[in-house]
Amino acid sequence: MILADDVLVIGYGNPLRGDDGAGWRAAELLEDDPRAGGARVLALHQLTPELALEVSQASLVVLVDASEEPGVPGTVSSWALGEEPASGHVYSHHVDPAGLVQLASTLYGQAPPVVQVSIRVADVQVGINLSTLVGNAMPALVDKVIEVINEHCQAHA
Amino acid sequence: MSEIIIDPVTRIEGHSRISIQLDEHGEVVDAHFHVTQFRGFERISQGRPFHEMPSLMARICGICPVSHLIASAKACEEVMAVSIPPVAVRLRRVMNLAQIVQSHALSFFHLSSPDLLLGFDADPSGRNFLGVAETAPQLALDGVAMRKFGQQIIERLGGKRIHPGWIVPGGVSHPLRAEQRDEILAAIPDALERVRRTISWYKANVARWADEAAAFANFPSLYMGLVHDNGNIGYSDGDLRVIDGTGKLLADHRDPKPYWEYLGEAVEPWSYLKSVYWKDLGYPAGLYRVGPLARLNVIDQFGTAEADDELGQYRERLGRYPSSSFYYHHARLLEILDAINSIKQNLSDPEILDDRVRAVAEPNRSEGVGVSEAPRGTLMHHYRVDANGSVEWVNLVIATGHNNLAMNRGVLEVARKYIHGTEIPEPMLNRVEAVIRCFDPCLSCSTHAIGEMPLVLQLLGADGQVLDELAR
Repeated sequence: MILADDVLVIGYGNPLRGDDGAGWRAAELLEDDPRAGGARVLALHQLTPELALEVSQASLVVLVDASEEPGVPGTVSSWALGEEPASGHVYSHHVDPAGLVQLASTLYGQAPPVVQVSIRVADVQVGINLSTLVGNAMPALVDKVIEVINEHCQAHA
Repeated sequence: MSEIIIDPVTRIEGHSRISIQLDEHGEVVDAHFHVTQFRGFERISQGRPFHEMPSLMARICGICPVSHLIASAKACEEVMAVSIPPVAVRLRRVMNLAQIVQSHALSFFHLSSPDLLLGFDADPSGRNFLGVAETAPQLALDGVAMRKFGQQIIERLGGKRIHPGWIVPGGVSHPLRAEQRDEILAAIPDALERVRRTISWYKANVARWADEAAAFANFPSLYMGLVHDNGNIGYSDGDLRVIDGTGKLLADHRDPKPYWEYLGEAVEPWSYLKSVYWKDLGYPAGLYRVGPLARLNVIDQFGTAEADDELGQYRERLGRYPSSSFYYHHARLLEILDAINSIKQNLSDPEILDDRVRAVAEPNRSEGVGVSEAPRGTLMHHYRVDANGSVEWVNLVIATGHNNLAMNRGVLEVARKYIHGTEIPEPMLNRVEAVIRCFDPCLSCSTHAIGEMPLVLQLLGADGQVLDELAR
């Protein structure tokens, strides 16, 4: 049986660059949210290679990030990370999601399913505040992560 | 005349480009390492209370914030005119050593091991850390684990891995707890095993890189670093020692604080990175190197038995004062070994748990300089404050700036060796970048940047026409 505390949630972004910090902010909210059911929650600036071990040990990884894709700011979307190849850009500061999964698989022999939950940004200029549109959408972002966790746990109950 | 542009240089900390000038026969006549980012913390700091400086300066860099914390705190303590409690000195050393481990691991495993393991001529699409993980998983595992080892010590002491706030003017904010010490000590055996394995791997393979070792910024120069009175390496403290390529002492037991008496700072219009030089020899002849290679050249010994044994073997094989910058890689591994053993030594002393860890004072001087060894070399913070302790003026002399002249000369020499003609194979260009990686420059530290440029390499004809172009 899969429990929520087997789930790893990583909210990442730069909280000093406006809406880019939405993932970070979501992680802070999720840490205090009893619906997360004990999932391990990390708030980070970037994904780094050192996360590979923790990723390999989770039953599900949820990555929460801000997106500059065109669209209505504050729109929340989610998708399962597919089999797309890693960029190979595993340097010091960051690794992309596919690279992180590949590292976990290569180094530790297993990689869980990864779901990316993303929110479209309005403003990523220097500043500690989210835009009104993204700020108003934060509950929806958190709800989406909870939904993903619940679906995962129910599917493996 | 033609020009090759490598833009940006990859697998370094920050963003830069390299330009290579060719003559009409396709031979290299000049080359420059351009640092194209700018940040300007010296100006941002003006008007801030001096006691905020360590936490503000730590934001310069996400890789070596501890170095900036230490140099900044020391400069503030000069302003306060205080000596900090001895246990605080040692606790800072532990955090600095942890940072050296994680930063050197980053440089060796994440940035440079793809070239070393897979070859400088390997397909660039797989010549990265993922390629290392697939080809030599144990090497990659050791790299990830060693970086994590250093980061976890920083987190345990300072509360977080990046930009910890524990080091403050006057010492550290709170004493070490026994359980923190024990957690760190428990991780030491595994870290030692990993670095020993990596050193063995490096020594078993070094003959494969003989050509690069002979060519990568291999010239006599001055070397500078902090050394304790007994000749031991001085990462966080010590006085300045400067030698030439034959080991002749140019300065010893010198107070590093009045750096302007012996170091000059020059700027060129093609880079935001200033060039620092040894004043007695003038600019640009006063080229010198800092960082792991230089530190191993200037010290008598590390001061830990296992690392000193390895240092003896290193010197036996390379000579007392190796001049090739390729050996920065080897030197980094030996410093990791020494740092882990030094952490163990420092934490094994029961006095490390002493609770007197901070001196408190108002500003008592108008000026202060703090000097420490960052992973990449000697780091200097210099502040002037007004009567209320508000910062009026700041100058930062960063390791990468000390090495700037040497990096430029290294790029020119490697370009001359490997580039001939107007069609440049990627592996040759990779070698031009790789000589820069030997120095492990941190451009975020040495300038201060916004944005990231795409990698485009252009070969330009005398009329400015693009003759060839590579994108990565």
